[in-house]
Amino acid sequence: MKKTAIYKEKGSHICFAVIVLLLAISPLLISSTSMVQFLGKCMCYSIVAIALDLIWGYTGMLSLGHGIYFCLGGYAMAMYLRLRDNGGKITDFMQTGGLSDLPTFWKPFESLPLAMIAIILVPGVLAGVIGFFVFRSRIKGVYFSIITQALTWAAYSLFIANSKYTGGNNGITDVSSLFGNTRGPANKSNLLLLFWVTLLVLIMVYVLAMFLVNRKFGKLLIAIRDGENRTFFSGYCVNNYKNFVYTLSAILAAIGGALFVNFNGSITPSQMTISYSITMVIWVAVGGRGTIIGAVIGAFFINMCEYNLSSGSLAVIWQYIIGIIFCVTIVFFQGGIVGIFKTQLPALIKRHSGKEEVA
Amino acid sequence: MTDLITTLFNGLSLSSIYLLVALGLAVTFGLMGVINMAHGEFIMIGAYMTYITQKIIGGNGSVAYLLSIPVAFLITFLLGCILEKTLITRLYGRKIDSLLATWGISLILQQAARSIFGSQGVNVNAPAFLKSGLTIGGVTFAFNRIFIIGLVIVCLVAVWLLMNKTVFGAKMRATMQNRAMAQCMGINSKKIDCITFGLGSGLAGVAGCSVALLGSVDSTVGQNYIVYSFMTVVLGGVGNLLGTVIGAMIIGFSSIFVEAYQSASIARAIVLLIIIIFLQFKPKGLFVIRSRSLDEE
Repeated sequence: MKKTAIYKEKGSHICFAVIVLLLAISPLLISSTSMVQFLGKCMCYSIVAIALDLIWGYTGMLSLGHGIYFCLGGYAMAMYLRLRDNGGKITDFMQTGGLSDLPTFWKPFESLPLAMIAIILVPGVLAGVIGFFVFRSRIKGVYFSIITQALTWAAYSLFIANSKYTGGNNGITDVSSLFGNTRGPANKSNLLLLFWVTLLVLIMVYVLAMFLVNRKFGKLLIAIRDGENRTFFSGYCVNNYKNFVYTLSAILAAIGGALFVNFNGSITPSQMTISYSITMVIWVAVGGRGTIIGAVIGAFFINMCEYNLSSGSLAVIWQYIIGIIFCVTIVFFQGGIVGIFKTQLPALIKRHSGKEEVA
Repeated sequence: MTDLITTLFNGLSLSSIYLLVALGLAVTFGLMGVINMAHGEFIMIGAYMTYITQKIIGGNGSVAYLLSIPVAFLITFLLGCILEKTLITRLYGRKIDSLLATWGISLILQQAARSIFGSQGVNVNAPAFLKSGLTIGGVTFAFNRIFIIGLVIVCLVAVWLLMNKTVFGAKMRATMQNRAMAQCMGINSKKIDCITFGLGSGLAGVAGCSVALLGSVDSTVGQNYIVYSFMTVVLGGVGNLLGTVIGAMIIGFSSIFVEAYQSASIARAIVLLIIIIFLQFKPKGLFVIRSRSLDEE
């Protein structure tokens, strides 16, 4: 039993190594910068997917509000980049909104270290506080999903309403990246640097997630998922575990968002909506919940499909396809892509070969 | 004084809209425990049905509009039954999965609406008899608002009568309370499930007819209501019609009162935060059906 467990983990490590290797060399082989940028975004999505997998796949809490944390990280990064690009002057939308000075809460974002701290701290503290109250009142299951959904809606409204501080519907646009301009072939070296740094972060997040889930801590998360009360009565402080995972997941999502801005060049409140948050869940569900590698595979798979299908003549049917993929996955393939290869395919082969033996 | 009455009327009107959109959810989520994320899309279908009926019948819209209510109910009822038979029935006992699968359905329905009607919103002509208002002592009560309040009362009474005064309602409650025992008593629980889900969807369709009166109809019209309808049901306490009514009134009136001092978007955020804080103290909503089971959902 134990042997197979290690063997299965080995499979996902190998799979991840192959993905990393392909990603590492891909920008050298691909000439189009937009394609490289797209792959970079996919890596950011993977980070978010891993974050979501930790709390949904392992701990069984479906958050429909990870868009908030993704956006908080993204906005923090975009605020720093905007100020750096502007030379510390106030932005267009602030001028339109009637502000003459930089708002106080924008001030810390003039320095990179403070912005970095904000990327971790703001979502972390927010998630910690939300988690503390939500878990304390024992809101779980679908109620947790509904509450996080409502929080997302509230946060989205606030970002839209305070347009002179946040840029409203347009968000913060036209920012460069941490390593300078990445647009066009002339700036490819900047893009390469950014790409590899992001890849490094993805590896670190993967290792961290694997480190957490492959020890007693991970087993406890699964125990909470499968029988919260039993775990509680066994003497574990379930709420603290849940809150820790929720906060960690929020921070990882924020890191994903912060890196995403570098590739995307803008951040808008539309990445904070409920539908975007559920899109993130789709990545995890299709890739395979409860396996870290599944989250990575799902994020890449869905986004690559979208990239290839949502432009051109197939754009109309893209949403049909994603809807059908999602429904079929949920109903028939709960394990997602990883589940197909790990359990359903071997079972099929076994049954098939078994029949042949009988014949 | 007139300001106060106007505010109260607006609050009542908004509450009635929230109640109407949440009523179907109170049946599917409250009674059956199915999280139907496509509920908003059933509202959208109802709204488009109003538009289609008006296009086909023509005229000044009064007859067409009144006719569109049963049409919308029937169509969404049938769609709900089909959805239950094909998808939901496979997902009983897996609440989170039913939430996600119905989200997939909602994506498909939204795209279908865009393919058929275009991404631009369409407008439903308010029927002539709803265009003016009733003025009493300087306060104008718009007829379409009064109509919606009337419609929600009719729906509420109908659902209550169906649930509490008919044999079908008794079977329905029996199935939802204790499925195994109900089956032993010879109740066809699959049929009950199907019709109950259809009923919830049908009510969403009726809500769509009233939503069509309030603004233009596009493929995302249902999304604006979905968060509020879930919050209404959770706030009132799952499985309790009276709770849903009071939940809708709390949300509707508090929105109107906060909007008097703040912009609509900030009001929305404040109201949602108030509800979330409220749920701290009453995590299961206002009216709780008590049970001794530990792992109740």
